[in-house]
Amino acid sequence: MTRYIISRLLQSVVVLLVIVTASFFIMKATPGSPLAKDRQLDEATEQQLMERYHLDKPAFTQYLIYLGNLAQGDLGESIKLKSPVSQIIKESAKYSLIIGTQAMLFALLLGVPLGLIAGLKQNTPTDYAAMGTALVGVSIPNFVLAPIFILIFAAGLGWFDSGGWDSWKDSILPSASLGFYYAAYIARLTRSGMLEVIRQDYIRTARAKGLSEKTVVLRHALRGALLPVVSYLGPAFAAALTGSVVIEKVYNVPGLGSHFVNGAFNRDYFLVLGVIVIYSALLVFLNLAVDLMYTFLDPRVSYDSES
Amino acid sequence: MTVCALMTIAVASSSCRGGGGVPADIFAMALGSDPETFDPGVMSGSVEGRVAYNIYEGLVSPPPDDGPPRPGVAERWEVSPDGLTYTFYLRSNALWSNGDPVTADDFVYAWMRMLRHDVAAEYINFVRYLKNARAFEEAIIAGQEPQVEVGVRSQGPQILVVELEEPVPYFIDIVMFYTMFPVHRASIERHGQEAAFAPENIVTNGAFRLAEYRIQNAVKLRKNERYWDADSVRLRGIDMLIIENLSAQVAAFDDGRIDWTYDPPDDQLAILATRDEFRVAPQLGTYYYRFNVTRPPLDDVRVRRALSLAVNRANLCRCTLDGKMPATAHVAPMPGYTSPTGLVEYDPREARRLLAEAGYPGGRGFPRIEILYNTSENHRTVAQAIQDMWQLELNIDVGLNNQEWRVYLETMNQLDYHVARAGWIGDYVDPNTFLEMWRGDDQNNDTGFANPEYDRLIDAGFAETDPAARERILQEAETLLLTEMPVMPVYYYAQEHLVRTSVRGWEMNVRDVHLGKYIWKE
Repeated sequence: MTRYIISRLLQSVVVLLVIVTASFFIMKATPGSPLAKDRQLDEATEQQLMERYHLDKPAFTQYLIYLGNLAQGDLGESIKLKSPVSQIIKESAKYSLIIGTQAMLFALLLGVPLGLIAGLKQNTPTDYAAMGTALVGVSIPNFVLAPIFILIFAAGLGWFDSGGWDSWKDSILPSASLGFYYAAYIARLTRSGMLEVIRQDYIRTARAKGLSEKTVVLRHALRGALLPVVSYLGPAFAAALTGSVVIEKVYNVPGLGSHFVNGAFNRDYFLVLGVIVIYSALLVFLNLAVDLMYTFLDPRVSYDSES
Repeated sequence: MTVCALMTIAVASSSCRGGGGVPADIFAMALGSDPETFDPGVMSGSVEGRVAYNIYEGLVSPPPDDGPPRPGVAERWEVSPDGLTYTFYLRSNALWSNGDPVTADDFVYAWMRMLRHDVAAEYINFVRYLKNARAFEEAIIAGQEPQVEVGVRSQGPQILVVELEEPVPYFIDIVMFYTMFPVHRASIERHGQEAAFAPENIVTNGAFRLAEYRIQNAVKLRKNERYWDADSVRLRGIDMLIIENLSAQVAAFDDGRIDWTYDPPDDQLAILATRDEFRVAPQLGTYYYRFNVTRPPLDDVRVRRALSLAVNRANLCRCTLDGKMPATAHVAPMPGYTSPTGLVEYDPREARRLLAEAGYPGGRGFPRIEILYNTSENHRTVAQAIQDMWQLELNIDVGLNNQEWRVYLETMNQLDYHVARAGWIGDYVDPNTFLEMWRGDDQNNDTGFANPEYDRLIDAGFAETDPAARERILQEAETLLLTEMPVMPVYYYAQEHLVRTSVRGWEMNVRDVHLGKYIWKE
């Protein structure tokens, strides 16, 4: 097991290196300079800035300098915001983390009960209503959903502000918009899990024992039905954390995603690379965590080569 | 696209709920992006300016309206008859936010650090007006010890003497600009050129101080109790919320989270214009098209003039650009200068005649040209309208070429275009800010246009100290520019604002600079 983890960690480093290398040269190959302005920089000033960010050196030298700094944990400096990338990421990651976590909580709190009820009342109007909602949730992309939520809950009902981040309250709409898709997906997973489990022999046995329906469903059936949901949570959480780019833009959330988008537009090389490094590290390690979790959830999965 | 459309619906349908959210002694406003820096010597944008004008104060201070400049750190100033020497008398009670007095040396230090290249100053050209500035800078670039004395020195703590290389008739306007603000030398020596301007270290001398900065969220300013004129400052603070999306800015205004927002999306103007909070005024800026004069068929002045004459600007502004003013010259309207008339007109018959004279009767044989513009709904609308007019009036083949902002800048800089959309916002209230860039050697030219007579007129404009004679020289230069037509003016920019009706002391002005020290709310 330990050997497996070590080898996976080493693989992760290679994966990250490939991602950084590819991203670096793609950024460099993109036309346009981070120092370009409609009012052109003074030549002497431009020269000063080029030297400062090593932009006057060949691309490969720049790459080596960047890798060297990265190895020491230095993500460089944002050309546009003129502050260290690590500091910018530290400040903004918390917003993305809050929204991502809340979106997952929202998804579970909405998705599981919805799927449960639908599964128990299969082929009734309740089931159709729940699954209809889920279908809508899975089909509507969040960049459509988010403005609709603004229209209803901010502009229409006036319960929330249309964007910005002053207090926790401002995180509700973004979290809900982001979590809606996952809620829908979880509802479908729970329903099909429920349908499968409810026909199993051990459920019939539990009922035969004379247990109340409530106990049968909540103590016996739900546990089995939620297995697919649990294994979905890992990748979903990673996707929610890194996938909030659009939501952050729409709601003007000062999170990582906005830096990713603006950084690309501004050719702010180090900011974009920094966010890419963080995003990919998150994805790689969350995937590793999920793989390891399988061994605990499902005894049939084992990563030990000797067994 | 979808997002924009839906946001527009969301915003358009929202009802105005009034400014309940902002306390009465706080003025809340939108900021279009994060300020790149709080160092006035380094900054170059309007967003940075909105912060800088409130936390710093220069020798001379911009007025709330279009009136004369107001005293700032300098109580008064004198100009020598030859226009070369300025003497500023600093007030004794001007203090930095840490209690240190603001002295003439602070200005000397602030200006010299740019020339010494201690910082990468984007508006370094403003300090190059100083006597011997260029020679000093050349020595610095060559890595030598400068042997010259630059024309800025203090005579005691309260007198600053400035000598210029040649007369700069609008120098007081330059002194008002944030590039010329003082910086706190002791902080820089303690923390370094950059860290001294970090929110936790920054020391400023304006009516407000920087209290808090959260990236992509807000810049919060609070009243500086040490400011010499603190008694007349009525606000407790200014909250600047960073909101990038223009529709979201309007939504924030409707939510009651901000009292002022500017540049609302063009497609909402018609709706917004009916509201009490809407204010519009001319801005010191021109929207124009560049012609690449090095590339046939645009190397022929007759072709350039024909293209300009075929554009019906009045129609364009009425139909597609609500409230914009059709351009009649290149220099945007400003007090103290009248542009030549009759050079930017709509005359399709003359256009066809010129085109025929250039060898393309009825548009025959005219090669396909493309209009280059950067990605934006607004630029596309204008380009399409002009494309239609050219095709209709001149029977020529015109294509559209849309590029992302930074790609567009590169393409234009490399002269790899036929016709390109452009815009210019004046840095100071003087025609020179629109005219100097068309000198053959100016790096903002980007048209290939070079005319020795034009360069001579621009130089003569500097040398002339009599305002009336100088105006005539600059008019001559503008006439030459519009006759040779490397640029085709389209319309003048307008400033559009939404200002809460309870806000007082907020005036429209051509510089679009609004100091919190004059503002209060009822």
